[in-house]
Amino acid sequence: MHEREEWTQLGRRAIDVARRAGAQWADVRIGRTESEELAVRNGAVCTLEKEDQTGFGVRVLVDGAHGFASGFELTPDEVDRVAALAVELARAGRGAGPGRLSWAAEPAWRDVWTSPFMIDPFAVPIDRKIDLLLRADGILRAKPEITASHASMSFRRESQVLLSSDGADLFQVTLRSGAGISATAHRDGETQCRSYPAAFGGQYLQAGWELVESMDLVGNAERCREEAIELLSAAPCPVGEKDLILSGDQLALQIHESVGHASELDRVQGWEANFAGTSFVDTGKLSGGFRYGSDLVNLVADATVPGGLATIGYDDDGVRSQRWHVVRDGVFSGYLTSRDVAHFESQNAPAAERAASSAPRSRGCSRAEGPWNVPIVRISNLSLMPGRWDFDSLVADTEDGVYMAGVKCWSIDQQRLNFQFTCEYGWEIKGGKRARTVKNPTYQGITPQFWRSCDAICDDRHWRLWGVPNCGKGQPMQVAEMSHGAAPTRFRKVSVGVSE
Amino acid sequence: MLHPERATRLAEAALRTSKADETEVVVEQLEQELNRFTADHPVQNLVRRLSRVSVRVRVDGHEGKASTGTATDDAVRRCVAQAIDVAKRTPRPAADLLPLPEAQPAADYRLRGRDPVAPDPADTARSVGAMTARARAEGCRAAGIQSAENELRVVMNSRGLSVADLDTRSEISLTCFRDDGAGWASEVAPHRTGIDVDAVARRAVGKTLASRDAKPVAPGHWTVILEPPAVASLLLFAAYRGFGAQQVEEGTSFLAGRVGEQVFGDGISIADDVHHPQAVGHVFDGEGMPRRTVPLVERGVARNLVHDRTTAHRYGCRSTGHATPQPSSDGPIASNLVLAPGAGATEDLLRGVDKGILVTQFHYTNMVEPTQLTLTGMTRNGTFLVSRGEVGPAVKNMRFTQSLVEALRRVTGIGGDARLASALFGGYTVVPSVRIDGFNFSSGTEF
Repeated sequence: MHEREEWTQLGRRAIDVARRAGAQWADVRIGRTESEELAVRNGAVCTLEKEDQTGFGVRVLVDGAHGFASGFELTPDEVDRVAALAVELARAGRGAGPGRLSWAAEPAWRDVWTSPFMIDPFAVPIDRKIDLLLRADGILRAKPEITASHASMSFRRESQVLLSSDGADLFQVTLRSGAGISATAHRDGETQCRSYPAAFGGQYLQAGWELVESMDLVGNAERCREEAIELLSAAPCPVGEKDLILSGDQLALQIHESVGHASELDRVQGWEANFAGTSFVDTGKLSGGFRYGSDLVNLVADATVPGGLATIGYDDDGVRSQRWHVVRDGVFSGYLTSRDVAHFESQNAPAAERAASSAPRSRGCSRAEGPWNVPIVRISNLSLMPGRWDFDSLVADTEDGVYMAGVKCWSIDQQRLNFQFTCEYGWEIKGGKRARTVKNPTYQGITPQFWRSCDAICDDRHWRLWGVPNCGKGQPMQVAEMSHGAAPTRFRKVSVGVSE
Repeated sequence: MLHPERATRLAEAALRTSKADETEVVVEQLEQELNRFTADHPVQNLVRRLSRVSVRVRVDGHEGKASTGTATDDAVRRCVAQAIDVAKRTPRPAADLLPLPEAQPAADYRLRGRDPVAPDPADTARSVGAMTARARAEGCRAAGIQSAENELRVVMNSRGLSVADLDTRSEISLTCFRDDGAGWASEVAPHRTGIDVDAVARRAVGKTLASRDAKPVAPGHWTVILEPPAVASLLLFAAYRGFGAQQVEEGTSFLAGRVGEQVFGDGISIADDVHHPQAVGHVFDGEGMPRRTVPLVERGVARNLVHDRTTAHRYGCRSTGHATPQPSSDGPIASNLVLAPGAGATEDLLRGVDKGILVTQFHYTNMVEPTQLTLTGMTRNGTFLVSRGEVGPAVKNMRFTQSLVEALRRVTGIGGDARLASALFGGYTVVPSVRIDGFNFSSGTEF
């Protein structure tokens, strides 16, 4: 029997068991994650691993109380046990307090969705992949200052059936690829690292082997190495207020931390308060037209954008993917939601929108790390729309500034206001010209003030999607992936450097 | 419940199946019950089970690895075949491969034989209800978790090594809010019965009520009294990025070239000790080697590093049992730091402080620079002014940017209240409260 048919049969069985046990609503996700990880370090293959994970999760509502149970054995007996356990959990949970969950309506979609790619990375021979990594690694460590070189690739295919008691029947397959290189240089007690095309494993997108080929890891290894060595003798980051130009990859993380997480409605409602935190973007800021950034700032969530790591046909609540403004012309205009928090947004929408909308609807941001974990609100693909500047013209227009690139260290307070980021590589801008390179370039700010200081965004020639493959949230913590589109962008009078 | 015998049988079957020169099988199974709640009800109430069988093989000096989440004999057989296929397709032999470890003396492992923490949704719901009710009674809104988990790990290889261990853990973590105040408390224990639920709730509510109407203070250098969870979130970076032999070799550790030197104040002694009565974690490492107790820092002097078999071979010493699952580019990692306590309670650290800040918890700590272990992060859930030895009004949260190496040279008091504590990014340490002079707060926030 085909895998999908087998999963569908088991899923229908789980829903029957849950309904007979007393669940008013149930869904089940059954799926498989196949992955391949390859890495070369200091000239030797250090990781070569294939993984194949299958499992399922059953979620129920009993009188508005939530229950979820998961297992890894795809047998009728185990499906029965797990479905009954989910109902038992929901029943028991009613004793923990009087509150109940709301559940926004959604059509019961029946569909098949697959992400596009050109070349299946799992079909590319391993020796070809390793050879590419070894060639890049050899260039990275060609000078004695380099104490650690690293080159890696990662591929993942996820297949999942989602069935619900109200008739949803979805089968989706996504494929994503990633690769990157990094060099660590050390001399006289100083250690610096430089990565390409991005830190923490490189660039990831929903794509096939063609993504790796497009990166030209080998062709960029020498520059990566030389910049790491250059940083060993670079000047410290200046301290004070400067105009700041952020590269696209760093801006992607800025968007992620200071807009993405801040606009997750479960955080706003306090559901994440015990772990990752809450948000300063309380629901009053939706109805009140809160000024999040300057007029130039348009931040668009889009689970349909080609290549995005969060691009999907339907989320793990079975909600069809959407595109909407989180910030429009600088004004906060929409949250990231799931079916269990969507009503908080509709209750607080501006009066005109409230009148036009008949019922709350989720934005489709509910995702889980595999079917064995419970879906929670996750950041969608969230991008800063491009502006009109050419990068060279932007630098020429900057009198006293710092350019910063490459994620190195990030930290933000639990309401997503005070942030501080350190980048891998930076240079000062004096009189519209690039000046000396600076190490450990650091900037700090308060989220709305920072976005309000945005006065120039580079155009679509400089704009690209950047993958975030390591977003942690939830208890138990789950890792999710998403992308953020960004072009180099300028912010005026930002606090840079750190006072000792 | 998990089945150790079944896990062992799976590993044995994989070893029998494999025709590789050397084979290692790791079976891991997790069962976790978790009730995640907000003001007046659970928002997630779950039990999850996960399984992973990993097979690492060597064929003619080539290494390959495959894993499966399906715990059946057929799936494991396919996994072995895939690992061998991966190894054969590797174009270059793996460098400097040591033979897999042989069986170690059973006495070295000191297996603890803990009983599984059984899921009990009704009991969990009762204690969640008690916590949220206590919070409501004081006008507070609550959010938190109660969890219990069992993690089984079996490591066997074709050279006769065979170990199995069950790590158990219960945790309650509670955050409360009222007005602009927020407070947090948490307890972790190896057993479900080891946690006083009401005491956790009282502490979280107490912090919340006291932290209302916070006033800003100027960033700068302050004397700080850090409660154990705040200490944990700093010390974990020394574990991740400092005490491993490979990190020292590559110059990315603050201990590069400094082993044998006085690196911290002479009040600081740190060991890695999974056998500490409060510690959690497995008693063997990713290669199946027994985790040994390693004195890392004695009276401020860096004495030892942690090793896996690869770095031990290079250094001419024996593995301390700190390998991550192999193969790995990370090198050995310290995983069970214990900071030696002083005497007396947190309150004793307050005495003699003319003006300082008491920190309950740090949030989102991260590393700015590795060689000085410069860290940044935010205070959270209870930050208070200390004046003339007394805890005073709440202050608004602040960001620190501070070298941990420098900070641990300026420790002027260590409490006797050592306990198991975790941090936002995970990991556990056994740490007491600590008083530090000249701690650098670099900016403030709005709450």
